[in-house]
Amino acid sequence: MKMSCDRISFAYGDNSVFEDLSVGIELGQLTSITGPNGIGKSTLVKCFCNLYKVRAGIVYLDGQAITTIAPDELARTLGYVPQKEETVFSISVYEAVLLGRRPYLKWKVQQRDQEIVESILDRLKLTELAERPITTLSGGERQKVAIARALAQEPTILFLDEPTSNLDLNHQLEVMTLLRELADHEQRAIVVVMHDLNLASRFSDRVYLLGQNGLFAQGKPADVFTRENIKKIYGIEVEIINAAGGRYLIPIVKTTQRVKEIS
Amino acid sequence: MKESIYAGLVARRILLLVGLLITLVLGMLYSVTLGFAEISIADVYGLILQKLTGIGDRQYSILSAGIILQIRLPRVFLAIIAGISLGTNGAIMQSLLKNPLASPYTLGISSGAACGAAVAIVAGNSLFGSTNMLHWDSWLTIIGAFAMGLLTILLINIIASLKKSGASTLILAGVALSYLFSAGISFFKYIADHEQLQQLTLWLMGGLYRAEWLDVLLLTPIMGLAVLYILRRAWDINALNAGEEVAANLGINVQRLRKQGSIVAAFLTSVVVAFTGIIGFIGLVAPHISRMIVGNDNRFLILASGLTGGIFLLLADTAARIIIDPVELPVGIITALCGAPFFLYMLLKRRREYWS
Repeated sequence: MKMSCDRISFAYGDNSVFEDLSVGIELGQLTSITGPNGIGKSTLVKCFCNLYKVRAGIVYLDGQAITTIAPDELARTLGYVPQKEETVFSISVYEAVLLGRRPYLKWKVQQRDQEIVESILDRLKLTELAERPITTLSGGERQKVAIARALAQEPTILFLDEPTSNLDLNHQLEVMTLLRELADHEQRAIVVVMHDLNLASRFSDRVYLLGQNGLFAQGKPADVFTRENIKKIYGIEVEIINAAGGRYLIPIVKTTQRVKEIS
Repeated sequence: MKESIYAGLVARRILLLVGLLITLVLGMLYSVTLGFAEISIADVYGLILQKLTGIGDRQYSILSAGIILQIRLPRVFLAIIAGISLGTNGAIMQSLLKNPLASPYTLGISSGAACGAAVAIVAGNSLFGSTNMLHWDSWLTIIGAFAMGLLTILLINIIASLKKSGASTLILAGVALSYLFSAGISFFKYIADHEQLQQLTLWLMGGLYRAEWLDVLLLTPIMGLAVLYILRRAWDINALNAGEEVAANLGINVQRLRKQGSIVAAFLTSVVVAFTGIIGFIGLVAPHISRMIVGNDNRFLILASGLTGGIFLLLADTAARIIIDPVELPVGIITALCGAPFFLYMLLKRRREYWS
């Protein structure tokens, strides 16, 4: 299975977000979509998931235009974890994850659905919290519940919009390691929108860097996140260092009096 | 050991639903024994049993039989059906609009129906005179209220289609329509004569005093179908609670769900309101009581909210019948009187578990 978008354009009313954008996604890979705020990263992911209708171009899933695929079938193939959940009426963690079985369910929850939910809870170390209302969870736990729900869809391709932005260091690594495992051991395609370029560098097989005119660069993290590219897209100077088995971008801050004092 | 998480959740909720059902039945059995006419409890049940089974040859007075079989029983049933309808509609509107303050009346159905009733009362009274008040007039009011309820749904629908709308657009459209219809109601109040005004005021306060078996026969299948439809959509409504985009990713056409769901709920509300007048607070409070009892899974919540609404309206109507002997209070006064303080209490004491 393969997924791609072919020369798609999207606009909010008259404001074009991107035009003629082509991006491919491979199974077994973790792909990061990066770029400045407001450049259309989340929009691109939503176009991929058929949540937004593209203005021009086609999104393909396995050679088939995504708009021609039945909603339930699409729901069994593509998982989506939004940047922020907006639950109004609280439900238990178990019920939240069970929602992911919706594309498979008629009305009654089968034994198999329960087994899948429980194995996911177990895998994400959420079993202890199964009966807790989700509104009482911490940000990191909420994020894991959202991922668990998406996994309950048993998707081949999983999209996550900034999955680490609200998490502490520990949870960031936990979530990224899990995503890495899903790509490596289960041959799923994982697509994440990321702001943290170092995290993206460390965990991605492939990165897309979006700029003002659509796609600016793509490829392996080391080829995309170069000093020149960062300067062009983000307008800041970075220094690149190799440490602890990874490659890190360190932004160079114009030294002010205050920073000097601290250091 | 593992399967017990889900099995436990479900078992607990089914037990709670059964508890609510038993409460409703007990309430019903108690309610038929109460009233101005002094008929002993033994006579009440004896009469009903005899009528149901055809066994026994005891002669009851025609008056007692009439009071129990033609006045109290249909009224008890109408209270239950109207309560169930308002309760389920409240639950589904809150979920569809993602708003804990939504009720069956949020989209302006009540104001629309009230305006229709006002037209019917004022115009109908002039047309037919007030001589056969119980029949022609009351049916005209029902038809007027129902027709205007439908018109409200149509207007909401048009507004929803004009703009690819979210929940807040629908709510605001409902507010705007309510004001529009309120102007209509005020106008008809202004031109109404004394008797018409009294009739209209009574209708606006809501009441089940005109209940007859025909009402029950008409409302039951409509309520049944609507509740079935809503239950069939329970999973979709659950998914909507996690956000519109999550729901869409789970294979749900959110726009269609919201549109169909609110049309079904609004249709049922207009039918009920046409027969009972505007009975407030049940549709708002019953879902919240139920959320506390069975949680927010709509597969259970919808039924629980219906049962709670049925119990609430049955008790309120029974109180309305007997509280000031021999005068009857409009039930809307009682539901608001009990519902409003309770709602305030919930607002102040609410816990994050129920809604955020």
